[in-house]
Amino acid sequence: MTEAALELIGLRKRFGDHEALTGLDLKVPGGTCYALLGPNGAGKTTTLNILLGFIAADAGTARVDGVDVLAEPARARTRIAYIPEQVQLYPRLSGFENLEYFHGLGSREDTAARRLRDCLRQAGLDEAAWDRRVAGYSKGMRQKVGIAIALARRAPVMLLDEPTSGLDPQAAWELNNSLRSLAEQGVTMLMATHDLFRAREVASRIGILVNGRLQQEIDPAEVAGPELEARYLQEVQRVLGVQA
Amino acid sequence: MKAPRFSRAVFLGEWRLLWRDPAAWVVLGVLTAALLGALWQGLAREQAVASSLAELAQADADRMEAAADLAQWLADTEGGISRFRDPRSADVVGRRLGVQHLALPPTALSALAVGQSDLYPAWHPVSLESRDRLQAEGELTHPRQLAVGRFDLSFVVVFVAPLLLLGLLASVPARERETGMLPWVVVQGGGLGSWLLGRVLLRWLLVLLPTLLCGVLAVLLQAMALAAAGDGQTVVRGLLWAAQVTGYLAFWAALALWVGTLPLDGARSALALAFAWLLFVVLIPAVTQVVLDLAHPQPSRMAYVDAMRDATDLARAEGSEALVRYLEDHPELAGDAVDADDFFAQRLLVQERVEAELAPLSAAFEAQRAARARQAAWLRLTSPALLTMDGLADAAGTGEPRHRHFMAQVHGFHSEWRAFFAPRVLSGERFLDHDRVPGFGYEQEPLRLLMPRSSWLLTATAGFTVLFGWLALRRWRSLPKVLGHV
Repeated sequence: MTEAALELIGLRKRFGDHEALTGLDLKVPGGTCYALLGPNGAGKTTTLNILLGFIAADAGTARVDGVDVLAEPARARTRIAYIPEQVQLYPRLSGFENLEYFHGLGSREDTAARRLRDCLRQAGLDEAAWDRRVAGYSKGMRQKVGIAIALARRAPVMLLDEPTSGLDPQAAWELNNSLRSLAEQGVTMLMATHDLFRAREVASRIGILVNGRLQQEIDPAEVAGPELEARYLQEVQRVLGVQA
Repeated sequence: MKAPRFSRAVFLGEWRLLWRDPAAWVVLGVLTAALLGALWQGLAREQAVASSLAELAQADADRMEAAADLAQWLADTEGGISRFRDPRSADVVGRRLGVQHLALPPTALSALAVGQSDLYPAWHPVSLESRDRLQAEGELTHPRQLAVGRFDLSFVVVFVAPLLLLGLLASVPARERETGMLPWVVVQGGGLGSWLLGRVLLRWLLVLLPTLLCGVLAVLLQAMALAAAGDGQTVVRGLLWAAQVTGYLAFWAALALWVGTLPLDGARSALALAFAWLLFVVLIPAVTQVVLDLAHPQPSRMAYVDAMRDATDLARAEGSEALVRYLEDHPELAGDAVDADDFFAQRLLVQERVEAELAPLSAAFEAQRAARARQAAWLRLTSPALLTMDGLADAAGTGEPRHRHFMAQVHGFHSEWRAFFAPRVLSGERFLDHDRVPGFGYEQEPLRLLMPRSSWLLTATAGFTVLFGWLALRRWRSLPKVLGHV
């Protein structure tokens, strides 16, 4: 698939005196994973919030799977699975019950319990934990339930906000495996992150966002880890005028 | 079908959450204990009242029967007896031996609400005494009981149930917003409003259903205890009571929904709801009372008693002149047997004179009371708690309107009693009409009077519910506001 599943054109957003997005243009082809790198306040989360319809852009266009987010935010959300930085679940419910609950909120069909369990398996959650209360889960385990919920939605587009933040290396590695697997299944992903290393591992394209505008796009296959870091820092310093 | 699927998911998840939440069990436990305590108190109170009424009715009948028997014996034997105890004296029978205690019969729902029944006596003694003596006798209530009020189901519904409901709702959806779960919920689809409504609905039902169940139980137990419960109004009154409870708790749910849309964390949300409870249940009713006292102060009972004493002294001073004047005005009553020095006749006329003197004062008092009642009716519109308190009492048949309806019948019967006995007292003839003494039969207040009153109270409460529901809906439409992004 080469057609853009996610498309942002001239997106602008201002919060008081601060301009969070200053004309963001971005295209993510279907079935690819796009990592949006940027320092704090670059506009990553604002971009995701606009795509999710939580806040309205001041100007520009945003399309998800062909649906105009600004005109039809609720319809656009049906095309999106979202994994926040902290996957929040009900601690008194088990992992499976959380999945059943959140999936049930938006599902149009009666999903069999077997398929939901398949989603948990696919997300990599240890089977012994499925029926345990989430209160005893680690952050990585919660992330996996979050992925299972996203998988069960069968949404064509997935938005991830700092998905590896706070995860231990093993959990982050497992998460990356899951994301790669999703990309292979044709899911389009937009991942806002600070984690250059994980971004390079999982993304097929990396964009560097500074001051609300995409400054540079990089093919991770063409750069080594240290070079990616150097280019990122160079770009940030160039735009923000910060000395390394 | 998306909507039923969505509701099922919310309900199932919510049910699991509540089942595993110790706070929900505490709420349910406290509510059940309060309901059962109030139910027990209500039934015990009604049983005591019913028992007293039965004893009074029996005592009235026994006294009258004994008087008739004694009169017959005196007639047969021509025996002598003091004129003040003579059952052949119309005054003695009409004022003492024949006195009838008219009781407002309890309804099958009386145990649900004390209403005004702790202010108004359950019975009124009708005799030749003046009208103000109708109120003179009654049950004595312990002052402490009067001070703290009665613990009844209405109290649980109006004061306790909202607190418990708000306790359950305070974290919905503040906790989700606080933990950042709300955006996650929104993304799942199905609509934030439906999700929130589903969650609130189940918690609302958790408080509503036990309350209604307790009401049904109270009615069944009371109906079993009352042989005459089949007055044909039980079902309608029961439905009105249930509607009042449902409407009132719906108001609190709507208020919690609105607060839920404000960008508040759990602690602030709980504080806002606690303040709302304080405002609607305590502060506004207290302020309305102050406003009422300022605008229409309670008529002075002392002034009335003073005026009555003055009038009585004047009438007594006039003595037999009063009787003579009266007979001049009513020559049809001036039979041969009338003795101008007759004590009974004079007492009756003094009494009538006092009543006539006091009539303008009584009318002024009544006008003041009526103005206060009218103002109070309007002030009820400031709080659903006030509306519901009145609505529950009215539906249970312990409210002021039913008592007023009863009092009109009491006054009517009192006039009938006087019309029957006064000519006989004034004529001074021997009284032998023991079996012709008027009898009282209570006429139920027609439902056509009750329904508009209850409908009005329900509509006003629903108005509050709609207002807060509308405010919540307005904010839901602005997702960023609900999520706290702006």
